[in-house]
Amino acid sequence: MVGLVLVSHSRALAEALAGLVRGVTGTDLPLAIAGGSGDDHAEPGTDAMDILAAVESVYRPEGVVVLMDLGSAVLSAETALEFLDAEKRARVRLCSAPLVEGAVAAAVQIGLGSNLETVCREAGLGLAPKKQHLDGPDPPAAPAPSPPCEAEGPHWQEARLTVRTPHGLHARPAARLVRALAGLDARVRIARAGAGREPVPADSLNRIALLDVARGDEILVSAAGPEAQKALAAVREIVENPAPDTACDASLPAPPPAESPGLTPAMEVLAVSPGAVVGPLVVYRPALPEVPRQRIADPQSEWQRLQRALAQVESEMRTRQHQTLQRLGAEEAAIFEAHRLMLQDPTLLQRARDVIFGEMANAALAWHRSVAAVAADYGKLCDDYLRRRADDLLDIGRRVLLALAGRSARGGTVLSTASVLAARDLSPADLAAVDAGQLLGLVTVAGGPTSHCAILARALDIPAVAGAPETVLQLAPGTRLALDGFDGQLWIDPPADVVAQLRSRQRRWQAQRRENRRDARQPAVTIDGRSVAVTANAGTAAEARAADRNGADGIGLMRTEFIFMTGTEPPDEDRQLQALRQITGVMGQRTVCVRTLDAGGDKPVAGLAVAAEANPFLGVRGVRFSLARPEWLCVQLRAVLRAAATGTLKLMFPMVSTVEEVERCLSLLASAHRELAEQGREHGWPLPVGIMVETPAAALLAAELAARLDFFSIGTNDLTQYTLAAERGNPALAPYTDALHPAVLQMMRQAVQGAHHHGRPVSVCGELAADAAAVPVLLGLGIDELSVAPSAVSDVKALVRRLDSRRCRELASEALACDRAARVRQLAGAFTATL
Amino acid sequence: MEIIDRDDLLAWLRELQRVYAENRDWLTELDAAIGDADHGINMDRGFTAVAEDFEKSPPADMAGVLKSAAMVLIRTVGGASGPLYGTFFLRAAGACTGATKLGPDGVAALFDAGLRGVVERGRAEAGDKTMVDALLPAVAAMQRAASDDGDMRAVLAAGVAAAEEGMRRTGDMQARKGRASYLGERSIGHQDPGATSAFLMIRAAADTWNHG
Repeated sequence: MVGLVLVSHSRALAEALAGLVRGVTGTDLPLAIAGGSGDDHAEPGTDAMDILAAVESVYRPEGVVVLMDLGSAVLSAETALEFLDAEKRARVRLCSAPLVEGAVAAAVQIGLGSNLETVCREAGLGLAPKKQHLDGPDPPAAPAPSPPCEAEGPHWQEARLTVRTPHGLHARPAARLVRALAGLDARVRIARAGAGREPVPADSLNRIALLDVARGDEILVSAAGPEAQKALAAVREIVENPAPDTACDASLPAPPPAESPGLTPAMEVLAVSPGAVVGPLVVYRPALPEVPRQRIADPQSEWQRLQRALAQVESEMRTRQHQTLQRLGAEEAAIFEAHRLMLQDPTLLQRARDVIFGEMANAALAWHRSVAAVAADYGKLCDDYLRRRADDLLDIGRRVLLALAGRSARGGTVLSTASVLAARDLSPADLAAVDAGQLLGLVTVAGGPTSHCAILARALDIPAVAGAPETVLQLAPGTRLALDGFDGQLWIDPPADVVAQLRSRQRRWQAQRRENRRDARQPAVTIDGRSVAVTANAGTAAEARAADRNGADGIGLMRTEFIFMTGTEPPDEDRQLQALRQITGVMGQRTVCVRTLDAGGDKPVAGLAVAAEANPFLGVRGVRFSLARPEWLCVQLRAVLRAAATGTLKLMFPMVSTVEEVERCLSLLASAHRELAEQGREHGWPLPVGIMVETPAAALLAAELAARLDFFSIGTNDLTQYTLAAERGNPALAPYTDALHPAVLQMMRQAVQGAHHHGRPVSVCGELAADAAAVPVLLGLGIDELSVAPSAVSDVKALVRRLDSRRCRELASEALACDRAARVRQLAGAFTATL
Repeated sequence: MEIIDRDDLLAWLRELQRVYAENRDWLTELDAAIGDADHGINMDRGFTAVAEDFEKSPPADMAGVLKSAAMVLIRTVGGASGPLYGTFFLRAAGACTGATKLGPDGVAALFDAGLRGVVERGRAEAGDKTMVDALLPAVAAMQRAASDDGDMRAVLAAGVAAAEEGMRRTGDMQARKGRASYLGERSIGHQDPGATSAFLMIRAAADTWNHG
């Protein structure tokens, strides 16, 4: 992907433009800005060194396009290039396009994976639509040249390979191939041996797939260019090695949804957003727009319109990819990668382009025809798996048509009356587009409490359940549904007593909630005057805003994994800085506690290679993962320190089990500080540093660790799984997951005592912190801060205000003396009932 | 003085800080007529930063002095004069890489290299009403004087006289580069602030090095 640098006299303008560009193309763009002069870039002007740093930060072998405003920006950009080494300089283009229009056009092209020259050319044409609109049409310009034809060069190297991937060269291996070759300076063509057909260019996903190469087939690969040899090796590695794809292929012919539970009058589902509602059903269906037939006069702008639509859909799919990655894992998310590559396929694009320019057809018609033709080719293939890719292609095609019609894939459903919306899956964007005023509740087939959709539903106060049977989507519109987002139940045509019960529960809950919200911003102080900070767990700006609305005293756990989930490589320092600033910007002076990347075999992160491990929970995860890649950790530490220049930050490391880890982290942090100081970069120093106490080792060594640190944060989910040696996700071990187990409580007490001995505060940021029965026990153990889901902040604060810390201490010592979790629950339940 | 060394370059650049501070309002006034009214402010800021930088870490050799000045100017000036003067000193540094002393012809070569950098960076030609209109005749006069075996005083005096003449003539010119070019004919009648600051730079060199 080509990098993009935006240069303006005004830092604010450059920042705003970057936001605009990201909005158009999705966030996943190697984009950097430079602007303003003076130490904090506050004065108008440009600074060549600033530009140089921006170019370096997004530099990649595909090249970098620099767009700038006027005057000194041009001179400074040129000056900046003088400081690049010749090899890099050759891959950087200063583009004369107008800044705003050019940036949008360039970003769209970059999103499409276009090469440096194309990005520059299209940016240069960025002004054309506006000019044409306001000044009238220019004399017809010749259509941009078609991709150069495949002239025979003298340096073709060939290889004959046998395909070993289980399904031949289908979408995923083909996608891997296209991606692997995209980074190489080589032209590659592939033919099926003995098929008597022309070789196809290896940059076309669809054309590779349409070669209809099955397992065991031989292919002829020819490559030319400086990296031809590498290209052949890359192809060989992919097609001859069945291993990496085996796992996902085995599961690919998706199991029919027949196992899903059938419809019963009352169904157990997953509670994802609290509240209970009854209302008529509306099924969410993305509608297919009509394809207009009319001809157009200006093929160039029509072509650009199509590209904008493609970019929009691509960014929507990218979002889905990230969601899937989080929810289901890398294997499932990979299919979206293949879908995105389908969208960028040169064959598909070339066909559409030919129809637009050749027949003066409108973009929708051209796209529709191109998709239909390619899908028909798929349909003719022998392989059943490949034939089904035609459905994928048609679905992707539909999304582009919707985008062209000015609707995103979400636009299909309008709620005319207050309704319960049922959908297979709903992205946050889908949900955001639904009129929240008419949306009573939400039922999804996919998803769970941690999905973005669920988080948003909670932020919007919309009751929701997930995990509903597929058949809900086949019910007649208007069918009455009742859903209980507290306990996770769903009724079809609910009986009167259920309705009455749900309504009264909802009323009580709402009244309570209103009261809690009213006092949300007040500090949480117990009856006897002990104040307890109630903060929120948040990883995105949306969650931070929800936290703010609910009166959080700060962010007690800022997860940084989201930042790493965009893109195929780890985010650079500036992008991490921006993500951090989005959160600190919302929280103002309140403290944001940033946790460094918490990845590992059980928590894969896009773009970070994670080795498979026999016991990922006991493997290289958390701080171990980061310390194994100190260069990435340093980037994150620098970003955090720089964000601390403007925000109030704390920093903590996850999954610590030894003192040596802490020492290494502190020393890396200190060198990041020194580096920044030497470079004259503004940053916050010193800042409070702590760790997550998630392992028994950390709890038992608390006093030793506390002597070196400023605070602890107990992650109760992990601490429970490690104390009880019971893997979290294993359903057979459900009885081992209660964090109120006395053994876990002993660990917490040990951690608190160690920390308090050195005067260090301790927070709890696991699910336990929002558990009404557990809160009194935690306060009794001496916990100083509770960090909970944003929507739970005001409720937890209200609970704290009803507690007496002396009574909590008595409760805690009784709990510590219990012999089993059930007894603790009983005790805590009885205590809560007396409030 | 027949030769200059590192200390003379440092003295010149420190003198420039005083000169641009003293002429800050004049330059800004000139710029107000046809530009952004910030040239004096920018030059003052830039050379004040240069002087501060030398206070902190004085470079070891001639090229180092000029290069450090260039980097600071690029970072701090903000307007177009940042990259232009920055490039001037950067290329000037290139002209005396490895040198510990410069004679009259070396000084002419130093200014010549700087001028080439400015022309390349700003793409300005003689008559465009820019700093080139002061620098170009000055460098030509210095080279002539040097090739006539003139001493340091003669070379610098020729440069100052030509720069001053060039600066004055920009008053009659119509701007064809930069912000002033937006004014078209209305730019005629105002002396160019860039040519003025360039003249001040050369005069400061003569003042510093001739009194050594």
